[in-house]
Amino acid sequence: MRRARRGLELVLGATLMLAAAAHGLEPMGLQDPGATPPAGGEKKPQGEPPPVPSTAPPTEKLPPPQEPPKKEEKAAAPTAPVLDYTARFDLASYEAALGRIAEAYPDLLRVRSLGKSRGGREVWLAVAADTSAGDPGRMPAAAVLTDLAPLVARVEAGARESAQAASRSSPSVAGPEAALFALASLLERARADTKVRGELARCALYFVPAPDPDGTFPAGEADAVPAPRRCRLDRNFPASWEPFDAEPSAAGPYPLCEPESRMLARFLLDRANLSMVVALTKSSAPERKDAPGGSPSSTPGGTDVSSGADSSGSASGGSCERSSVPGSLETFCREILDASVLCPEPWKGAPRTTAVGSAPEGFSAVAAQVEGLLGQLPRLECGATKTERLRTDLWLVDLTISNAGLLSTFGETGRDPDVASVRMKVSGARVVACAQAGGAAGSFEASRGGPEIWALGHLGGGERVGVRLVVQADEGAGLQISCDSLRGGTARASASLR
Amino acid sequence: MNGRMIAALVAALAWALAGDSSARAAQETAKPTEGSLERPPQKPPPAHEPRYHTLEEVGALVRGWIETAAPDQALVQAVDLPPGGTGLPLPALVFGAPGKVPLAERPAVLLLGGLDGVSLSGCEAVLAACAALLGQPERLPRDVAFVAVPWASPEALAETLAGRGGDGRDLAPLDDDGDGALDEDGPDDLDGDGRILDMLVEDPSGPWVRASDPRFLAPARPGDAPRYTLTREGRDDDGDGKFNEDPRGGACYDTAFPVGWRCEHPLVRGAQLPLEAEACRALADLALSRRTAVVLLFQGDHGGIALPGSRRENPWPVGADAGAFEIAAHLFARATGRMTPAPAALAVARGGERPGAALDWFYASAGALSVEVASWGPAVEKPGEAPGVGLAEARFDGAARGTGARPAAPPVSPSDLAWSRWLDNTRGGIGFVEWHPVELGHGRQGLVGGWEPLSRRNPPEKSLPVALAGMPEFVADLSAALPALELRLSEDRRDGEVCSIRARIGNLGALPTGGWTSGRALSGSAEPPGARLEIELPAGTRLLAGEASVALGEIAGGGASREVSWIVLAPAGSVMTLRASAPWTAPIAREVKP
Repeated sequence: MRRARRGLELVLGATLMLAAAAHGLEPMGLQDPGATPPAGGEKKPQGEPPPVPSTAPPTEKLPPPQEPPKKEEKAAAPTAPVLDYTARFDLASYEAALGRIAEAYPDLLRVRSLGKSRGGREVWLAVAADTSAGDPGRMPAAAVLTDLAPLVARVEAGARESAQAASRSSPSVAGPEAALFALASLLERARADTKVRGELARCALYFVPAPDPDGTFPAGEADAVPAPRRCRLDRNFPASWEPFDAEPSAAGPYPLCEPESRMLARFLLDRANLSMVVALTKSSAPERKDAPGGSPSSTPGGTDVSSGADSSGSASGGSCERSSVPGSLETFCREILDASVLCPEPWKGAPRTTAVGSAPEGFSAVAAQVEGLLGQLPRLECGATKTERLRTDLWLVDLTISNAGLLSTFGETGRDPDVASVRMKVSGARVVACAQAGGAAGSFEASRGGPEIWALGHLGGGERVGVRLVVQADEGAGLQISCDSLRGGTARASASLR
Repeated sequence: MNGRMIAALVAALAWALAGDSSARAAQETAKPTEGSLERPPQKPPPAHEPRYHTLEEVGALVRGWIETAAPDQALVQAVDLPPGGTGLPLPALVFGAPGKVPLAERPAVLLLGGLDGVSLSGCEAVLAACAALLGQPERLPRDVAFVAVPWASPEALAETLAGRGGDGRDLAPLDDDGDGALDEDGPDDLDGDGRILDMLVEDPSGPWVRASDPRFLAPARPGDAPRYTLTREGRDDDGDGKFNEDPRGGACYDTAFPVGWRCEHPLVRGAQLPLEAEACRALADLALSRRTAVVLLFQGDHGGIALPGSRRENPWPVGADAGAFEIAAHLFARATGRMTPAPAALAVARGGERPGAALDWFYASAGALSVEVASWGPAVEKPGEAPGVGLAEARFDGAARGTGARPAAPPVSPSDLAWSRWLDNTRGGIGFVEWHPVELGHGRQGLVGGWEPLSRRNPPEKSLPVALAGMPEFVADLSAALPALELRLSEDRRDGEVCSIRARIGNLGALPTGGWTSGRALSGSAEPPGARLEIELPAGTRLLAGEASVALGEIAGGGASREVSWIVLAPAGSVMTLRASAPWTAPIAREVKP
C-alpha cells in the first residue's frame, strides 16, 4: 500500500512539476543547483476577477495588522500587495503581510487563528476558497504548511539548552515566506484567470505559513521567554511514535505534548476533506543568497546540519521520504490522515520579480505546484445513462459515478471495506434494489445497505463505477441522486422517469 | 530466574517477614508533638463500605479524607485535575506519612481506578486502599506519597454503573461510521427487560459462531454456519443496514495512550488522538510531574496482575525489570491469597493486543514500575467444595478436550470456560441471559443475551468483598518495598589539606532504585544514569581526582553501588556534601567534614 502511495506521490510530483513548467518555471525537483536560473517567465494578470460577494463566517477573524495597509484611492478594487519575499519576515511583517493579502482578496480568503503557541503567539490559518460556492469544509482540499523541522537538526546531548537559548535570538525553523508567496500567487492567479477562480469555487486550500511561530520568529528582548519545549515539534505527532528516541527528549513524553503540535494535528484531523499535505521544507543549510542552487552545506564550525530536512524534494519532485520517521508530521499525515504528502524545497534559485513581489525562483515553482494541486484533488461526478420502464410503476435507472481527480476519494491505507468514502442518497422514488458494477466484465452485484443510504466504497483517481437502481414511482416522477464523499465533494444528478 | 532476581526476591521476603510496612513506618514516623495532643479529637477518616459508589459518593469520600486528616498522623491534600469532557469531576488526592520531605518531592505510588471505563471493582479497590491506609496511618511508609484517582474515567464509569456501559469510552462525540452524523446509531433495549446486553445478528460473513457451549461464541472456522456479527443490543437507527455501529462515546482512556497507539477509525469525525482528552492527558502529566515510582492500574477481569506489554513486540527488551515484577507478583499473591499463575504481559492477560495501553506508557515514558491489578476474575470467588475454576485449569481442560475428534461446534475458549465454571458452580447459572430472538425490522431477527452487567466484567455487589480482599495490603506492602537510599561512607580522611573520601550508595528497599525505562526517554541513545552520587564542594576547595557527579546505574534491592572516590584539596574545617539520588527514591544528602 505504501509503495502504491509513494508511486502516486511520485506521479503527482511529476505532474505538478509539469504544471510548473507550463508556467514557464523551472521545476524545482530537477533543478540543477549550479545552473543559471532563467530570467523572467512570470505571467502577467489577464484581467480582473468577477465580483463575488463577501461571506465571511463570523468565527473567522483577521490578524491585527502591525502596519496599517496602504489605503488605495479606489477602495472598491483592492490591489494585491507587492512584497519582498526574499527577506526573512519577522512576526510584525508576517502578520501585516497576511492581513494585507486577506484585505486584497476578501472574496477568496479567510484568516483565523488556530490557537496560541507555547509563547502566546497566534498560529494563523488562511483558507483560500470561494465561500460563496459553499462551505470550504465540504470541498476537496489540500493543506500547505511550512515544515516544522529545525534548521539545526542534530542537537547533541547536553547541547539542547544552549541550542534553545540560541533559538531565542535566531529562527530555528523555516520562515513563512514561501507559503505566503504561494498563497498570494494563487489568489492573484484566481483574480486573473477564471479557470483558477472556478477551481477555488470547488476546492479549498488551507495555508499555515508559520505553524511554529515561536521558532519562526525569535523573541525580542521585550518578549517573555516561554518555558522550554519538551520535545522537537517535528517528532511530536502520534504516528509510529515511540517513547525512546536516539536524540534525547526528541519525541517528548507523549505525542502532542506541545500546544502547536496539538492544535495542528487536531486541525488536520478535523478536515475530513483533506487529501494532500504540502510541507514546504527548507534545507538545513544556512541561507546563502550568493548560491542560487542552495545546496546543503556545513556550518562554519563544520557541524553536519543536513539531516533535519531531507533532500528528497530535489530528488523526487517533492515526494517526502521523511514519512518513515516515527512521530513526524509527514508520518502522521500518511498513516493517520491517510493523506498524500509532498515536501518541496522552495528556498532555491535566484530572486525574480513576479506579480506579487520578488521571491526566490523556487517559490514560483511551488506556487505553480500548489495551483496544479487544485486539478488533482478528487472530484465526484455523477450522471444517469439509461432509464428503462420495467412495469407500470417500476423503473431501471443506470448511473455512472466517477472521480475526475487524480487522487482517490480515500487514501490507500484506510481502505476499510466497512467504511465507504462514497455514499449515495436517492429521493423522488422508492429504491427497491441497488446493484453496483464490479469486476472486469462489468456485471452488476447487489449492494448492501439502504434503505436510505447506499455505500459505494472508494473511487481511485480517474475511476468510475456503474450503479443500477430499481426504483418504484409513478410515471413522470423526478429521481434525484446525490453522491457524497468527504474528500471528493458532492455530485448530483437527476432522471425523469418516463 | 537469574541470581539478581533471586537476590531481590529474597530481599523482598526478608522485608515482609521483618514486619511489613507498619513496623518500619512506626519506627520512623515522627512522634506527635505536645501541641498536637492539645487539639480536639479529629473526626476519623471515612471508612470504605464494600459496595459500588457513585461518582458523587466518591467525591464525598475524597473530600472527607482531606477534611479529616490530622497532620501529625497523615498529610492529605487534594489534587486538582480537569473534569471530563461533559464536566464530570475527577476527584483525586495525595497523601503520605508526616515527614520533612514534601509530598510533591517523594517517590509516588499512583493508584488509578477504572481507567478502562468499565472496571467499577477497580475503583472500589482504590477506595478501599485509601481508606485502609488513612485509617491506619501508622502503616504509611515514610517519605512515600500515594496519589489516588479512584474514578479515573468518570464519564465511562458512570455509564457502566448505570448499566449502559459498553467498551469504556467517554462521551466525546465520535462519528464511528464516518457518515457525517455523530452517535446516531447506539444501543437500545429491544426486549424491554431494562438492560442492554449483547446481540447476535446472522451474517454469512460474520466472524463468530456458537461454541460447543452455546452460551458462548467462538471464532468461525471455514465451513462453520450459521455465522454471526456480535454487537450491542439495539436496532439500526440510521437505516444503513448496520446495527449500533455509531454509539455514544469517543475515547477509552485506558487505550488512549501513545505507545503502540493506532487510529481505529481513520475516516471519522471527532476521532481522538492519544492523550487528547484533557482529563486523560492530565493523568499523564500528573505522573510526569512527580517522582512516580509505581503505577497500579486497578482494572480488568483476569483476577491477577498483568505486566506492561500490550503488543507482541514492545519497545523494551524481553524480561526487562523481571526481578521487580517478580517482587510485585509475590506480594500480590501473599496479600490476596490467590494462587494465580505467573504474571503475564497485558496482551496475554487481556486475551489480545491492546495497543495504546496506559500501562505501557506509564512504564515506558513515566519510567515507573507499572502493573495492572484485576481485583475480579473467574478464580477469585470459589464455591465451597468445587474444584478449581481458574483460567489455568480451564486452559488445561480446554486443551485436553481439544485432542479428540473435531466436534460439530468449536470448543469454548479457556477464558469462557473459566467463567462458565464460576457461573455454574458459584452462581447456579445466574448472571448470564440466554440468547433469545428479537425483531430488528425489515424482516430481520437477532438474538439478544450474554453476561449481565454485574457478573463478568464486574462482580455482583455481594461478591465485592471477596474481590477487594487483600488489595489494601498489596498496596501497602508494595509501597513498603520501594527502594530507600543510604549513603555509606567508607573513607573520610584528611592529610593536611588533602582529603580522601570514599562512599557508595546502599539500597535498603526490596525493589531496585529504578527500572530499565526510568529516564530512558530523556537519555537518548545513552544509557540512563540511574542512581547518582554527587559531591558538593564549598568555596575555596578544589576537586583533584574523581568526578563531581557519578552515574551508578540502578541498584538492586538490598544491594549497593560500586565505591566512588574523590580527592579534594580543602582547608581544614571545610564541609562537603554528598548527595545521592535515584529515579524511584527521594534524594538524600550527608555532610562530610574530613
